[in-house]
Amino acid sequence: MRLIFTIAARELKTLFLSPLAWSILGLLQFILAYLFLTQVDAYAMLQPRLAALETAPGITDLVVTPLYGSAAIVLLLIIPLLTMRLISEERRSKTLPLLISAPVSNHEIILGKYLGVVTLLLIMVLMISVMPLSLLAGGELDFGKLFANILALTLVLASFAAIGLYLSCVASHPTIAAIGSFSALLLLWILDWTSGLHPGYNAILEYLSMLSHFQNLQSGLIASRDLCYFLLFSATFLLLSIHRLDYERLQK
Amino acid sequence: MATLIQAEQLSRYFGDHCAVREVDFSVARGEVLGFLGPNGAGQILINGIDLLDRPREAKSQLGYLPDNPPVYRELTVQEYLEYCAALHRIPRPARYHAIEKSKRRCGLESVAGRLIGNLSKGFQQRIGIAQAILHNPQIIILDEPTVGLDPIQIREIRALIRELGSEHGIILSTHILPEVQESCTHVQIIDQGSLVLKETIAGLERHLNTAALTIRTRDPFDFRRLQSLPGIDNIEIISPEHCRIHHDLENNPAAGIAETIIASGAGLLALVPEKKTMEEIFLALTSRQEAEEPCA
Amino acid sequence: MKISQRIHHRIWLKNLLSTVALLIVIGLLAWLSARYSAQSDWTANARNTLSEASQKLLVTMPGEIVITAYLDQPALKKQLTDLVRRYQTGKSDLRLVIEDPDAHPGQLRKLDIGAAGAILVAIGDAVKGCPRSANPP
Repeated sequence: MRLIFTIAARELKTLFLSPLAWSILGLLQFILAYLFLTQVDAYAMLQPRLAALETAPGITDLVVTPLYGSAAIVLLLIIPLLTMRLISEERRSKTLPLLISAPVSNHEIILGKYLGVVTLLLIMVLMISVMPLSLLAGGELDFGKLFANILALTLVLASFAAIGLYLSCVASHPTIAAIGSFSALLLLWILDWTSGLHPGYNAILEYLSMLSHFQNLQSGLIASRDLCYFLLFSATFLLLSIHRLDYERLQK
Repeated sequence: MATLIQAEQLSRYFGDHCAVREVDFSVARGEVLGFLGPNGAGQILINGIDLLDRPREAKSQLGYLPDNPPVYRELTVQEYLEYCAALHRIPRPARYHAIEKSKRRCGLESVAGRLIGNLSKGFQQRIGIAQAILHNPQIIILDEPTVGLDPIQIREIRALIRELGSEHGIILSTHILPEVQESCTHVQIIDQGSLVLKETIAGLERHLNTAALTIRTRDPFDFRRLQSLPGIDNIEIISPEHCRIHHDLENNPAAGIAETIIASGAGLLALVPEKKTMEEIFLALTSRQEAEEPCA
Repeated sequence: MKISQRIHHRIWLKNLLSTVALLIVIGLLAWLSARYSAQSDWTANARNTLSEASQKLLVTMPGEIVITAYLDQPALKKQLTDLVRRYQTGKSDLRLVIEDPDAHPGQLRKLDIGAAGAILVAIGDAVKGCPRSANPP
């Protein structure tokens, strides 16, 4: 158990020793801050008209929900870059034998690596959440909905990281891992855009699609089926990664 | 002497190609076993613990240096060794001492604070060895530890291996034959997956001796005069000052030859027993295998 | 444990089977979690949930309610599904059927539904239609 934290700490250290983590954090904050400001601006313009409506959407609906939606899409592009190195870089720079020859089991390696990346992602979520909290200076927030958004973003990022980690286990080269996980994520994101398929297939595609589960959670309605979807999704790819390393160890 | 590592019927396949076929070996404390040729894994018992049934216990007795040192270039030497110590489950209070000892043995004290990526290949190799001996394992496996080093570094590493060999069991895999001669106590040669030679270094030295002497003199000398000495089979005259003498293995005529030449006043410059190089032995052993069928 | 060629093959097979088993178990769990789902509304004033009055009214309604929607825009389908789901939590025999208008041209002509589509609500035998206007508010 302690080894998981040791591996996670080293992973995080490596991320922050390279310019990658810093530049991604900076860039992400810049892009989202820009989007956030345009949303706030649009809300300020709409406000007089909204005041006339009886059940008008509040600032949380019009600013916070789109912010977390954009954050998920921007991170869909970024996370493959963070996860691509996890295993395949160790394999390429021949440091994997160090982990394999040490008395460390495969699940500790995988969970350690995963925990390292997820910690970085949690830092990102925290930094993003500072923006909506700044709105408290001039208005009120629907905190329930804000927490639902934070939860939704955390779960969706954890799932992104899990699939990225798995592809990093499979791919021989970090670039291939990045491209693979990016395509897989994009496909899962747009999976329910299809229409006119047989209703039976449609239900399955709809269930697999990340976007609908993400939006359900974002709406503030926390359903166990959506939570289970994300937890099962991450668990599946972590287990597959462990399996993959087990298989490889026997081969070597 | 207690057997530290025992491998039975080791086989390793890459696709259909057989790299190692049913090789057995064992190593005891204080032995340095040199492996010439490729290496692999099958059933391995470390200190009587099965590597596959109880990997964690078995691996904690094992230090491994792959052919490329498994170092993280972005960490400092100290950080790296601390990470390795944690990976090998060295308890926290013992960690400092283990790292200091390992740094001292590998001569890394002066570079402890530097980034591994900025250090030379020789240092990286030593960091790799430091990592392998950190948890004081019973068995150290070194895979081509001197590749890519300059001659001084090679000498240092070989000295270190010999020193380590007195306390641990070491398996050294290499394709450099003099390295085996210099560092090992036992040697095994693998060719096309099969064991072709299993010897102690002393036994290997016997293989190396041939029944031939090279003689050089200052002034021209009629080497045919030596024919009458006991034990001499054949004299091969290369020039008036240089010849090669083949003799009987049991009856070395060197002393008699020296006396005869010195008495003649021709001036003895050199009287050298010829040795086969390891390369020649290797070739002789491996070419013998060629007639046999290749492994499936 | 000794590793022979046969055991190696057996391990490979075991690995494959355990992966398949893992995926089946995950699929089963996913199905169960989708089948038996509980939810809680975190928003202020529970905006995603029906008011008590609506819930009471819904319970008093007898028989099955079928909502048939002739829609082709994915965004609208999603909105409608979300809306109907609120009612479904209060009444389990409320069904939503979304049909592709292009697939049923005869039905559309019979019901006099325009290009914008329509939503039909059937309570028992009574059908109430609400054709969508071309320019939604």
